[in-house]
Amino acid sequence: MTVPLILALWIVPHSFLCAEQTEPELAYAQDGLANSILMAVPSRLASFEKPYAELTSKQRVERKVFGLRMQSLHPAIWGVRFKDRTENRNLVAMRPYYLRISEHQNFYVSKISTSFKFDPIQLRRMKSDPTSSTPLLDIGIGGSYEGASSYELPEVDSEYVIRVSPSPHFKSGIYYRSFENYLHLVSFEKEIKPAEDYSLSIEVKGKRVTVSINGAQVATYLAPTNVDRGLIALRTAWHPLSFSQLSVEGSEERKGKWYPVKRSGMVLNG
Amino acid sequence: MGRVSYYIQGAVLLLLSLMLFSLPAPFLLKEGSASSLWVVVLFLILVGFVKLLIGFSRSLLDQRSLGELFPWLTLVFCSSTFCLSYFNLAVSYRWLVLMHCAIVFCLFVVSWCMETRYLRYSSLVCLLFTCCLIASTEQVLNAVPENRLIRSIRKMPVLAPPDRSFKFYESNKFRGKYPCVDCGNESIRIFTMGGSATYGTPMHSGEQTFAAYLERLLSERRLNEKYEVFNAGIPGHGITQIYNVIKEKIIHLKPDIIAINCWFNDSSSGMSWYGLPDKTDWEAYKQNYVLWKLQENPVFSFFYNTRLMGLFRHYLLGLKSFFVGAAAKEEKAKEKSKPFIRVPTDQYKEILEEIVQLGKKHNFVPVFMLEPVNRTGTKENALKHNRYYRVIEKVAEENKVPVVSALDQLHARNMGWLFYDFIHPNGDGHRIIAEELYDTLFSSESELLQQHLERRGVDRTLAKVESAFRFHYEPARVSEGLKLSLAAPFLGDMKRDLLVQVNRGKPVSLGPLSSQAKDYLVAAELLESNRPLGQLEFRAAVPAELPANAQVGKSQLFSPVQISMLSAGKDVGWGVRIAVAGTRVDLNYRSYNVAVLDSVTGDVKRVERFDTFGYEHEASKLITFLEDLRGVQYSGAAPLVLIAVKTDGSEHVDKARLGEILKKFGGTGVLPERFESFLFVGSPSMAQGEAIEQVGLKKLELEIGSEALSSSGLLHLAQVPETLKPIR
Repeated sequence: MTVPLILALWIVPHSFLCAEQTEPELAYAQDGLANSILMAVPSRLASFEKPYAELTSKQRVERKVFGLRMQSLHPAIWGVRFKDRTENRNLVAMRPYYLRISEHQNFYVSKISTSFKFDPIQLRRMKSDPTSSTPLLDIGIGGSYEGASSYELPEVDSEYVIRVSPSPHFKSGIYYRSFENYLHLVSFEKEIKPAEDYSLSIEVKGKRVTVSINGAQVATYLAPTNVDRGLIALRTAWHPLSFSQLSVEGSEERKGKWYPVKRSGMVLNG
Repeated sequence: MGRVSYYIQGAVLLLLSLMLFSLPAPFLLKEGSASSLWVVVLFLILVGFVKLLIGFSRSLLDQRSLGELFPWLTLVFCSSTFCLSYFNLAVSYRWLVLMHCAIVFCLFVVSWCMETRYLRYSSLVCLLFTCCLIASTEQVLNAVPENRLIRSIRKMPVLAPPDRSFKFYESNKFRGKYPCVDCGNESIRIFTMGGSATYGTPMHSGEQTFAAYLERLLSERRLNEKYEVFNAGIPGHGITQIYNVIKEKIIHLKPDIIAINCWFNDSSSGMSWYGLPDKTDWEAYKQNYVLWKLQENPVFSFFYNTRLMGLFRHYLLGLKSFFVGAAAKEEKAKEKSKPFIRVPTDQYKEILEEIVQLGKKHNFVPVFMLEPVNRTGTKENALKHNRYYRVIEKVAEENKVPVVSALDQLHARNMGWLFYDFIHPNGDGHRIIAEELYDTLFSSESELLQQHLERRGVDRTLAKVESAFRFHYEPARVSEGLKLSLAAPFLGDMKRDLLVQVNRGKPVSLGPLSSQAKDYLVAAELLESNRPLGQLEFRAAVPAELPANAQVGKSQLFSPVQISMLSAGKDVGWGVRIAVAGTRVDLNYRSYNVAVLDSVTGDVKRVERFDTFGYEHEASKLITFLEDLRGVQYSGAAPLVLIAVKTDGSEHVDKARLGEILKKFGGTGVLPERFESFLFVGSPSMAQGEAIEQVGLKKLELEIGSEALSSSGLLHLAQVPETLKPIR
C-alpha cells in the first residue's frame, strides 16, 4: 500500500511538472483562430517589436493607435473585433481589446493582474464633464460574442465586468453586461482615487470571481455559470491611465495535455 | 537728316524690337538673367529712343507745336514700359513701371482734352496701339517656357478656393452611394448631413452609420414604401458648409428630408473651413460666395487667367509689400492667432433659418438633430448647458420643424460603450440614433413633416412593426411568467405562429398570430436562466407551406426566407449583394462574400468575406471555412450557404480544391474565371448538381422566394411590459 501511494505521490505532480516545462515557444503567434471574431494578426509587427527609440514617426503612431488610452498592446496577443475596425487614423479610439487566446474553447483563465494609475483629475471636473473626464477601466471575463455580421446586432454579446472608476458617476464593482445593459452585482469595498497607484488582481476559479486591490480582497462573486472560460476584454474611457505588469494567467488543454499560459501584450512607449 | 526721318527710324527700330520680342525667348524674367539676344534688343530700343529724342529736340528748336509730338511721346512711353518688363528690370523697379503707365495715361488724357482733332485721333491710335502691345505681351508671355517665369506670373491664384466638400463627394460619393439623378421620384430620399460623427469617423465602413441603419429599418418596417438614405456627412463640416452643400448640390438630387446633425464643429475654436482666420465661417462664406460666382463668369475668367494679369499682380504685390511695414505684419499675425468660434450662436440661428427657407423653396423638410456627445446626460440637462441645443429647439419651434434627440436613450445606456471618444459614436451608438430618427419621422407632430409625407403617399397611421423583438429580462422578476399583447396588422391571409426563443434555446410556439392585438403568455419554466440577464426574442414562424419559388435549385430544400443576390465582376459593375428577408447582410467586399443561413428558420448565422484577389492566404481560409461548415447544423439541419463574388473570384484560388468542396455543397465544380461574376446557393445536404450556380462575364441576379416569406414588418407591440428592457 505504501509503495503505490509513494508512486502516486511522485507520478501525479511529476506529470504536471513535465507539462509545465514543455509549453511551446512563441505560442502567442498561434493564438489567432481561423474563425475568429477578431481581426487577423497583422503581418507586419515591426512597430511593436522594436524599441520605441528606433521607430520612425509613422511607426510610433501605428503603435500608439493600437491599444488603450496611453497604453499600447501587442496585436498578436490582443485583438479588436471586426465590427470595431476603424480607419488607420491618428486617433486612439475607445474600443475593447480581446485577448486572442481567450477565444479558444480550451483556454481557462485563472488570474488577471495589473498595476494601474489614473491620471490626476479633480472631482468637480469628473462631475461636470463625464464626456471626456471619466477615468474608468473595465476588465471583462467569461465573455460570449456571436454575431451574424459586423453591422447587425449579434445574437449574444455578454460578459462579467470588473469595473474600476473614481468617477462619481460610476460605482466600482462587478457587473453583468449583456449588450449595453449593465446589471450591478457586487460593489467594491475600496474607494479608487485618481493619481494613486493600485495593483488589481482578479482570481477566477470555476464560478467564483475574487477581486483584490493592493493585496486586500475587495469583492467576491459566485456566478451561476463558470466564468473561467470565455472572452477576456480590456476597455478604458477617454481619461488616460497608465498600466504596468499586465498579466493574464491560465492554462490551455491541447491534445490531452495542460499547458500553463501567461500573456501580457503590454508594449512600452518611450 | 530731317527730324521726321529720326521719328521714322525710331519707330522702325521699336517695331523691330517688338517683332523680336514675339519670338520665344530662351529665358525670361528671372532676375539677373541675360543673354546676347536681349542685349541686342535693348541696344536697338535705346538707339530708337535716342533717335526719337533727337527728333523731338529738333522740333523744339524748330519751335513746332508740342502737341504734334504727343502721339509719339505716348508711343515711346508705352513701348518703353513693356520693353522694360521684358527685361525684368521693371521687376526690380516696380514703382518705375507704374510711373510710366501713369504718364502714358496722363498723356492720353491731356491730348484728349486739348480739343484738337488731330491730337485726339492720334492719341486714340496710341491707345489702340497700347492695347495691341498688351495683347502681344500676352502672346509673348504664353510662349515663354513655364520654368522661366516667375511663379506669380505663371498662374493667377484663385480668388477664393472652391469649397472642398464637392471634391470629397466626387471621390467618396455619399459614403459609397450616389443617388440616381435621372430616376423618377419613386423613392423617398433622406439625406443625413453633419460632421465626422455623421460621416462615421473613425469607423472603417459606412454600414454602421445611422444613415445605413435607418435605411435598413425603413426597408424592414415600412412595407410598400421605398426609401433611400444617403450619408452626406463630411468630417469637419459645420452648419455653414451644410447650407452651401444643400444649396449647390443636394437640392438638385430631389431630397425629401434632410436631417442635420451638427453643432460641435461650429462651437469649436480654430481655423475656419475657408482658411480665413479673422472671419467666422458664415462671414467667410458670404465673402467667398461673391468671389466664387465671379470666378465662374467666363468673361472674367478669360481676362483674369492671362499671364499679363499675373504680371500686373506681381507689380501690385511688390507695391503692397513696399508700403505695408513689418510692424503691421506682426500685428496681423497676432490677430490670426486669437482663438475664435467658427460659428457663434447668433449666426448659427441665422443659417438654420436660411435652411428652413431653402426647404420651403425647394420642397424638402429639414429635420434638426441634437448631435449627442458622449455621456452628455438627459435632454433636459443638456438643454440647460448647451446654447446650440437651445437655438435648435427655438428655430424648430418657430418654423414647425421636427427635432430628433437621442440624448435620453443614450443616457439610459450611460454605463455602456456607445462612443469611440467624446463625440464619435460607435456602431451601437449609431444604431440608437437611427432608432430615434426613425421614431421622429413617423411620430413627430411637426405639420411640415406630416404634410410632406402625406403628399409622398406615406401612411403615418401605419402601426409600428418589426421583424422581431428582442429583450433582456431579470429572471427573478418574471418568476410567474410573462404576458404581453402583440398584433400582426399586415398578416392578411397568411397563417403564422408567434415564436419565442429564450436565451437562444429552441424556439417555442406561443400560438397563431392575429391581425388584432392578442395576449400571449410565456411560461415561467421557459424563462428560467442561468444568467443574471436573460434574453428573449419574439418573431413570426416560417410559413408552414413554402411556395414553389422558394425551392433551392433542384434539391428538396426550400428557403424559409426571401433571398436576393447579385454578383458583378470587374468589367460589369463591380458589385455584390446578398439580402435575406429584404435586409442586406453581405460585407460588400472584394472576391468572395459568404452568408450562412439556418435552413429551418432562415436566421443569418454567419457572414464572412474572403479577399482572395488581394491575399493568397484568404483563399485557403475560404476553403477551411467551407470545410468546417460541412459538420455544422442549425435547428437540427444542415445550413444554407450563399456565395456571391465581387470583382474577381479567380486569383490565388486553388480551383481544384474549391471545386471539390463546392461539389459537396451541391455544386458541379464550376468556378469563375478572371473577373467573372459568380453566384452559388447550396447546402451540405444537397447532392452534386442540385445547388444553384451562375457564372459569367455579366451581372448576375438571383431571387428565391418572395416577400410573402418574409417576416419583415409583421409584429406590432403596442406596449413593452415593464419587466422587459429592449435590446437595441
